[in-house]
Amino acid sequence: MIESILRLSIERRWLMLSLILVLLGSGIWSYQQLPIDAVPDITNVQVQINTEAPGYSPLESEQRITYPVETALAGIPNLSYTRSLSRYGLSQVTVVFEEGTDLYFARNLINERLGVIKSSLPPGLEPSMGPIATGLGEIFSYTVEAEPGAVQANGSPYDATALREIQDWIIKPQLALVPGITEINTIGGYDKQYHVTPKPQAMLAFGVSLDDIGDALRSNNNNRGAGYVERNGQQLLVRSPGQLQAIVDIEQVVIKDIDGVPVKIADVAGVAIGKELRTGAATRDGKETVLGTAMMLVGENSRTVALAVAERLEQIQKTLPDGIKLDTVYDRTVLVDKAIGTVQKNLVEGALLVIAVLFLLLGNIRAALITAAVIPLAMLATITGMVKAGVSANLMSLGALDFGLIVDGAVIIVENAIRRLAEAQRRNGGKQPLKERLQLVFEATNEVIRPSLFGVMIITVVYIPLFSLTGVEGKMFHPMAATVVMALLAALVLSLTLVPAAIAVFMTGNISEKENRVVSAAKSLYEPALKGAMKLRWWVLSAALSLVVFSGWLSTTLGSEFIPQLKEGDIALHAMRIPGTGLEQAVSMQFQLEERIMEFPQVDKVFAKIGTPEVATDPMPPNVADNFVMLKPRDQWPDPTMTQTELVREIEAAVKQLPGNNYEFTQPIQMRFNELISGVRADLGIKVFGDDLEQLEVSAEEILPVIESMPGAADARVEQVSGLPMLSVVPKRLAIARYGLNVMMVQDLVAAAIGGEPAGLIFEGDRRFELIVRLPESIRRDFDGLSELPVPLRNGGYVPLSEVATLDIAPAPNQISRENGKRRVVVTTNVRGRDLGSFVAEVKTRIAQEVDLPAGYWLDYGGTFEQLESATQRLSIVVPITLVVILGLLVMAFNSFKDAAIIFTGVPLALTGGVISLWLRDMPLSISAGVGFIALSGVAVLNGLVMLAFIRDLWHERGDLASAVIDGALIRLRPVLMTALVASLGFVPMALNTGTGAEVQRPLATVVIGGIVSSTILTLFVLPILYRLAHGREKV
Amino acid sequence: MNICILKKKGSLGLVIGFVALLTLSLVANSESDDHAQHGHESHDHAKQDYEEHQGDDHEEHQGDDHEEGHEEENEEHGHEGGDLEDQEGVVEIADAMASKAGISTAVAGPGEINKTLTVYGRVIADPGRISHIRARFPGTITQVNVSIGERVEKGQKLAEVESNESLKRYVLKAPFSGIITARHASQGEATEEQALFTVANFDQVWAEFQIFPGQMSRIALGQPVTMSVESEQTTSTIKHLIPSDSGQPFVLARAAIDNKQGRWTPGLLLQGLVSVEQVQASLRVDNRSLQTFENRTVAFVKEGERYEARPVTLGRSDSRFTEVLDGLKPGDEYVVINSYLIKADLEKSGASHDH
Repeated sequence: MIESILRLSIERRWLMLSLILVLLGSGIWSYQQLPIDAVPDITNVQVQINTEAPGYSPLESEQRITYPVETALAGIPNLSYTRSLSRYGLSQVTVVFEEGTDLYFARNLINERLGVIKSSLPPGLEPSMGPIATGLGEIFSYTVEAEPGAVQANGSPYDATALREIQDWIIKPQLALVPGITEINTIGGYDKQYHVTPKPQAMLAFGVSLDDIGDALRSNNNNRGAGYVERNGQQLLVRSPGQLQAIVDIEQVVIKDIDGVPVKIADVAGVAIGKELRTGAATRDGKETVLGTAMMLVGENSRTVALAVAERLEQIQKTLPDGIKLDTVYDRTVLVDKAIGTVQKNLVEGALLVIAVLFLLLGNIRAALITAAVIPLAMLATITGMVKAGVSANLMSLGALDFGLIVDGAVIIVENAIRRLAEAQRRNGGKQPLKERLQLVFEATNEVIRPSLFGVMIITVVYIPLFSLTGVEGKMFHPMAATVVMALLAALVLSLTLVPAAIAVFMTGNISEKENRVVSAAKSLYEPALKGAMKLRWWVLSAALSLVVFSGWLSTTLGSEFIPQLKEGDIALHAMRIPGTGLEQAVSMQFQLEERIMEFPQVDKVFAKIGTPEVATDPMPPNVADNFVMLKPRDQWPDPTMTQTELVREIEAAVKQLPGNNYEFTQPIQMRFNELISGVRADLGIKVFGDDLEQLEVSAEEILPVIESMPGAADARVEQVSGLPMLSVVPKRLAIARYGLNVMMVQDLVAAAIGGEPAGLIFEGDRRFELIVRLPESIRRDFDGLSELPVPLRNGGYVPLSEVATLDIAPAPNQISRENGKRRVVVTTNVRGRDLGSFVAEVKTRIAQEVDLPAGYWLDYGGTFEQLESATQRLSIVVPITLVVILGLLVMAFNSFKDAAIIFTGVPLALTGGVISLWLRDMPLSISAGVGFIALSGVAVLNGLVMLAFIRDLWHERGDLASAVIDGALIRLRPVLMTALVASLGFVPMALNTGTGAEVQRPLATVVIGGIVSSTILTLFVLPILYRLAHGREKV
Repeated sequence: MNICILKKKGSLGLVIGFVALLTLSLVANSESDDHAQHGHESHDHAKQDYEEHQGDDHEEHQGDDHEEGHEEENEEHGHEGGDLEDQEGVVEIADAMASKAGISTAVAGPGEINKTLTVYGRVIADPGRISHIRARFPGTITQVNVSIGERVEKGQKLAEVESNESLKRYVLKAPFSGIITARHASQGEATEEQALFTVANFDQVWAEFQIFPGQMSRIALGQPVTMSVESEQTTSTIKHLIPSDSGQPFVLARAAIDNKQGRWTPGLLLQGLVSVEQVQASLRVDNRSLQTFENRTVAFVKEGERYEARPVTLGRSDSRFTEVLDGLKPGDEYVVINSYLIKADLEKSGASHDH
């Protein structure tokens, strides 16, 4: 089959060449569609269901909202698990689906279920699904600022409420229309509200209750349409406007009438524009601000969307009142551009180096160009494939692309073809006729196509274990493996079709295959060296063996990490205060923190989100703030050579001086991922499930000492569930009965007095603002005053609140976590200096023996040990299978197990170089480096294959093993050197680059370069020796 | 040949061994670094990152406990919070930092505790100062000298009545100074049995406050009370405590109001602030200074740049100050404003971000 393809390609060579145009076209078109981002999206398929429940405490929001929502979700197809969080004013249920579930399908299912339970939720609460976005979705943030001296239309300076109004009603509606944006999330400032603040004394004096005020406002604030009438043939629409327009209108609303004298709102209450009871705030550079974040729709191209947002913001800026300016504080484009710039630089430089090497070694510019042409063509084909497969272009997916590897197959073919052509020309002393030339090209290609096909297939096969990774690792490395495999396959197809065709078309004139100086010098060095090595074969072999053993040992001394972390170039930090810290307190602490950070000359701006934004994508309590520290370009630093790590250390040392804050340093994208994927973050999590929170805590506290007493346990802790101080107003049933009240009346009063009661909307054009009845701040904040709050009686009298209810401040749950529909408290621990498996087993038996759980309570073990177990299991099956497959391919290629095994020795020999180069560059072992090793094994096998195939053919031709080995090795020196050189040089820019994102790619490149060097040297010497030893006593 | 085969087998074994080793080390690496590295728990990524040249996490002894995030909470619990302290509940904050953070202190000392209770009630006219004047002998009114709203002095002539029996004219006089609040008499009318004039004196009115059972124990005769309506304010003392006669469960506390200015009209709803307890405390602290720390109420005492959480036993308290029975000494400098910051600093290592 291969032969017929080759024949076809050579005969229909012009057709083949014209296919380039198709490839170009589809590649360029695909490039426009290709999603580009900095890192792969590792978010799982999840849907957040947020229900805002103003005023609900954690217990109430769990009982009234979270529970029904969770119950409704049971039995949804493809459901992996649910987890939920019930906090003050918010219930969030996160539904995680099996990998591969279509997000829109999942949302549809949930939508349907939510529709069913809507009636069983407390009235007025609407569960809504979070934005259709992933962890990479927050691509753009801006602040709305007032310039100093800017004043509103009414002459007062802009405050946080006014800025928020501009954000909500001018900016957001325009920005939300940008294609690819799914949500504009706002945090900071205050929602403008109209507040009616009744004075208890005046209410008593006029015998007016909070209810009366609410009712009066509700029934005096409506527009009504009243149909139409015809008048002299003309239609007149009838309408009765009655909406309240302004504060004056509200003040004039009549509540009741005493002896013919109307009691108006103004008589019993103040009316003013007030502040909502907000759950989140935003700060910037030590001041309050309003922060908008544009969230990108799943699967969009972040760069395009961020650019479109920036452009739209500029247009919006023109529509804003004078003195208001929008300021971009975070723009993903910057990072993506930098990262993609790094990748591009790596790829382009790599490609140039490869071309240079090709030209240098082939000594024929046409041949070099044909080979080099494979690079852009394979790349375009890969891009087409990436778009089709939904793989985005990013540091990881493009991080393992080595043009050296890609052109390997083509190099071998081209090299052989020009060698044969040159030979033929030398024999014939001139050009051959077309037919002969075509035949020659066919033969030359056919001669080496099998080994190179096998080689490429083997490289492809070695990437297969990567596909078996699941979870976060899978998301990181699947795109990488997919891209490489696609590129290799594309190159394979090209070297089968296009390369022979191009050789047939373009390699016409004199084939100036000069044994150029480099190659001949190498040969003249290689020949004696190889002969010497053959003599000292046992020495060479044992040296190689000890090298392998040594590097095996060395690899255990290398540090280890999972994946090198992308340096995003900006710093993010969680500033955490103790649970129960109020929002205003947190804001003032935040001011100090930001002022301190701004003192660093390297810092451009710093902004923070405190608490929960409008759309609760990341529901933080008010005591936690996400800080973003944007750095100036390095050349503006006082000391541009300072590393970011050092800067972070300095900032950390400085902010640690500030009282009351605890920090966790991270990076913006990283932080977002953590928030979305979170589960149990430790090696082992022991989840206690049950009903009663107190019992759960007690049981967890019993488990803790058991774990702490075990060797290897580190950082064991119980999840913090309580600690939120809560003021409980507990109705006294007897007293209530005596005064003719009921519990609800008391609760309504407390809710309205403290939290406020919505009493309709005030419209200002499109803008609508809530009208709230709430006690004045001075009374709300006064704990003693609250206990004397008059509760109106039905007969017109009153009774102080303390008479009918007890007021009590006590700690209460600050959040309730549930998993799969049950309350849970987690005990987490890490394991140090001990293998996780035995630790987990011991934990299980010891807890079973020592901890007595009440009926209805049970344990579940989770944490990263699960992933480890599954990853270990998977790899321990997949890696051997892969090895067997490779061996099988080699056996197929050679029909000899012996030869296959000899070629296989190239693998450990290649790995030695990789390990040593890691050690030299002081890099830890990581999965990225592991991928490098995988690629390396492929290259090593390919090298061996090329050499061995030729030696064997030569041996079979001549019958003399010794000379066949030496000559074969010499003839194959050029292709082996070439494939090695191009493969390693292709990675050199990647290994040396220091740009943004280079750290992710560096280990892989380092390993491949080091490994190829060692593998080449060893292939050139050890392989011939082994072959000779293995076949020394055989006859042809 | 034998040797060769052995060699071959050896090399094959080597290959597999090596790959196995690689696999193992990869697995082991994810094992040891797992908590730090699994992507979703990578708050620690940063740590790993920023310390990569150290390659380990032996940071504790430097006191960088927060780097470990929540995971070190237990370990660090008890001596967390600051930098050098080894004592529980003590934190050190430089003065410059403290003043920047708005921490301010006061000196504990003696002072007054004035405990108050808010009650509501109405202004009631003094029944002894309202007089409904009738004609002593029935007759015809011949002359009326005053009209509604007019102020009259004691003994002032209000009207003249001609008696039906004696046909003598006699004069109706004001029994005391006051205001004519009602008049049912016009010239030529027969007096009948009705009240002709009502003279009321509002120079003194009464405030009647409703004292509910829960408040009763704190209210006593003679307690000063501050009464206010809108911006008007006056003080008095509780004169009487009388059970309500309307079958309601409250007691009426009565206090006289001097109403020479005439601003306290009967029927007005009053808010009264009764000083239920007024004592001289030997030691008192500002309420803003008190915080809960490890389930005890504490005040933070400043010594130099050290702040110590002192558990205090509290006595009486009013809306501003609280008596301290034990735990503080007079002259101790304690944190008043932003005492929460000290508490926050002491407990901060417990602050974590759970998802």
